Amino acid sequence: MLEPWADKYRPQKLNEVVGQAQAVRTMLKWAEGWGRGGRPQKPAALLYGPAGTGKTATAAALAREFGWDLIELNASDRRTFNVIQKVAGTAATTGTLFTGAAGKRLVVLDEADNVYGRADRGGYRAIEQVLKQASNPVVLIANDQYSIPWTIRALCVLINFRRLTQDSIVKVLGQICKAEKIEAEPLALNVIAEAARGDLRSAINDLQAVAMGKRRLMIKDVVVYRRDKEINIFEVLSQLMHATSSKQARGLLWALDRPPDDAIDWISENIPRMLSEPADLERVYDALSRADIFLGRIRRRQMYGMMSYAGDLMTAGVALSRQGTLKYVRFQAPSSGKLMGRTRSTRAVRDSIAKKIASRCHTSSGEARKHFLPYMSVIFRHDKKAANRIAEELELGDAEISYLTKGATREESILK
Amino acid sequence: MVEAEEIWVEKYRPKKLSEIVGQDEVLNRLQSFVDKKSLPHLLFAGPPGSGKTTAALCIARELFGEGWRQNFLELNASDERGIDTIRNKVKDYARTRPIGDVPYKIILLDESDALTPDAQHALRRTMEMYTHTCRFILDCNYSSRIIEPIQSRCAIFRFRRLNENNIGQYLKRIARAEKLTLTQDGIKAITYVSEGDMRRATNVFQAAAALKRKVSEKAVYEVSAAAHPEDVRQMLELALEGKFEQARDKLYDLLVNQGLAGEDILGQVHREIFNLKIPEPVKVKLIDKVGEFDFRLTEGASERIQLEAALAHFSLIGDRLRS
Repeated sequence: MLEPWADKYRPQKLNEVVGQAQAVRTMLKWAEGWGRGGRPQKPAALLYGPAGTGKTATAAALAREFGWDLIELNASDRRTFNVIQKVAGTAATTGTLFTGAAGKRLVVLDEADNVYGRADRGGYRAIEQVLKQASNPVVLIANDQYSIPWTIRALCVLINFRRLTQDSIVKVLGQICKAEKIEAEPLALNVIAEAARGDLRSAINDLQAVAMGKRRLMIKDVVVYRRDKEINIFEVLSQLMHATSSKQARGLLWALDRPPDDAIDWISENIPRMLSEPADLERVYDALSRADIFLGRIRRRQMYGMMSYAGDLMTAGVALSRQGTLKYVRFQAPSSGKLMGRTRSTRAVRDSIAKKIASRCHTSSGEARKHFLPYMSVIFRHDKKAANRIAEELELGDAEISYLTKGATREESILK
Repeated sequence: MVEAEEIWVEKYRPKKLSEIVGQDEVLNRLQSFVDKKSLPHLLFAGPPGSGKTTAALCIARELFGEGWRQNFLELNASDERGIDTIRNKVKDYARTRPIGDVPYKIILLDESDALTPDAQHALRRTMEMYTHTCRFILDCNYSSRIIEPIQSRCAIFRFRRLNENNIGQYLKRIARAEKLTLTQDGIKAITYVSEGDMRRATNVFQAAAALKRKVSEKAVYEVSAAAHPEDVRQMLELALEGKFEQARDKLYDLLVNQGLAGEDILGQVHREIFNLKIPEPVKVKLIDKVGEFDFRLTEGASERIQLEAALAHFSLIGDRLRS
């Protein structure tokens, strides 16, 4: 079994954690408060920051250093809250049998900003209880500190994990190459590090993808690997609409090193802008819509054999739908992909409010989303007092409150 | 677990069967079950917001008194992940004996017509298995979507869609308690925008009251407009005018900045079609198309592509209307 380098080279000790000196110092100070039978004023530490910056690894290293047993729970897992009071609660209030009186347990609650809400009715309240009673250290891990209710944040030492600098990523990549006996050009490592934008884990994954099994890693391995893809997709786009046979059109997708569910985003971003006739537009989109239906079926039922239908529809289906003339456009990367990436967090917030309402108001989350959220939002924009009371009752976090409050300016003009 | 006291739907949800408005015959029969403390499995059919869930909650409160929550399990078929989850929860719950002097517990399965026929057969077996310790109350919109074997094991109750009188009676109760003024035309407007759904009516009323202490027709329509902003109509108008790319940008705004679900956007598109300045027969054709894309949305992988395709269709219709 091939071990991911990101796991293989995970820091074992606190002083191996890279680029988070401040965070590690704060963490140590907090942890020492738990030594010699003590209990610090804040029983928990909230580690927050972007993905791949070392939050979980640091918590694990801390436990190792202090000789604490590590208990990891995932807050977004529905099972967690059937057991959180039991496991986390007892783990945090009793010592362990095996390590004797000195032994403590470090309870790590991962994805604390994604607490599974509905089944347990009040997951955050459960956490709050655990923290208040804890006689063992608890670590909460989240991406965004403001997605955690303030009642919980108040019980935590807040520890920020920052994006790593390019230099510190390069340094780590260099060490890994040395350990793997790969001779790497510094520039190659810099290119990988830059693309990772402060996420060390993804940088290590990228490095493994291009360097594994090689003795030497050259700049051309890295650059060509990236540039290749983009030349191809632009060529495919420009040739696609000039294809005259379905065979020719579908062949373009084969030449492209990109899965159909990725290619469809490029096609739908650029092709519609080339068309001059509304009838062409409609037919092209109908082909894309049908291709997307196949992609949906593939995704839901793992019927990968259907991929070729999706591919044919988004290439041949699109190319042969056109009858009118073409406009010249400059191709661009799909903006929607980036946009939808951003939506994901908005949607997560929206759905978590809906879940909270659903569990309180005897309804489904779909119903709550459709028939409660819009009106709740009106209340939040116009009646601060009522909004505060509702927010408190539903235990809404800051992100959730701002979701409900936003858009006030546009809406003011509708009402006036 | 306390109920929500700031959300009026909960704050004013009837605690006794006799407090529920409309549905008189249904309520009489349910009351007699409660009085005799003998309950068959029940199937409640009727439109949303007609009192099905409330009736189930009232039955539990009246049968079990204070500790009703210990003897009442509520599941929502559309939120649970499949029949196995439901079965496991029922199993866990039914294993222990009921608390108090009533010899059974109640399991409410909301939106039970969301279950496939196969899942319903599995449910039927589960009902059989625990019938000595549990009573099931199944809520659904249409009883015809529930398989025969389940129907035949339940007493079926049909809840009517509520009318203006019913809604008025209930909202006036709230108005008195909250010291608000609610005009008759306000009631009429709320009934219209909520389509006789008491849950929606109550939400509309609470939102309107956040704007004005006196809730009239005007306030109701203002709230309705504020809750469903004009962006959707603007998007459709842009598409009809042939400005497809601008319409598409508007769509991204709805999806991204406002975080709306594709399904909900199409729901609003459906509603807005009636307000567009296009010939009536064209509206009917568009509704058919929107329905088609709503369906594709459930089958497809990317709701963005399906919504864009719907907009492309609007562009084509706009073009045809101009020429």
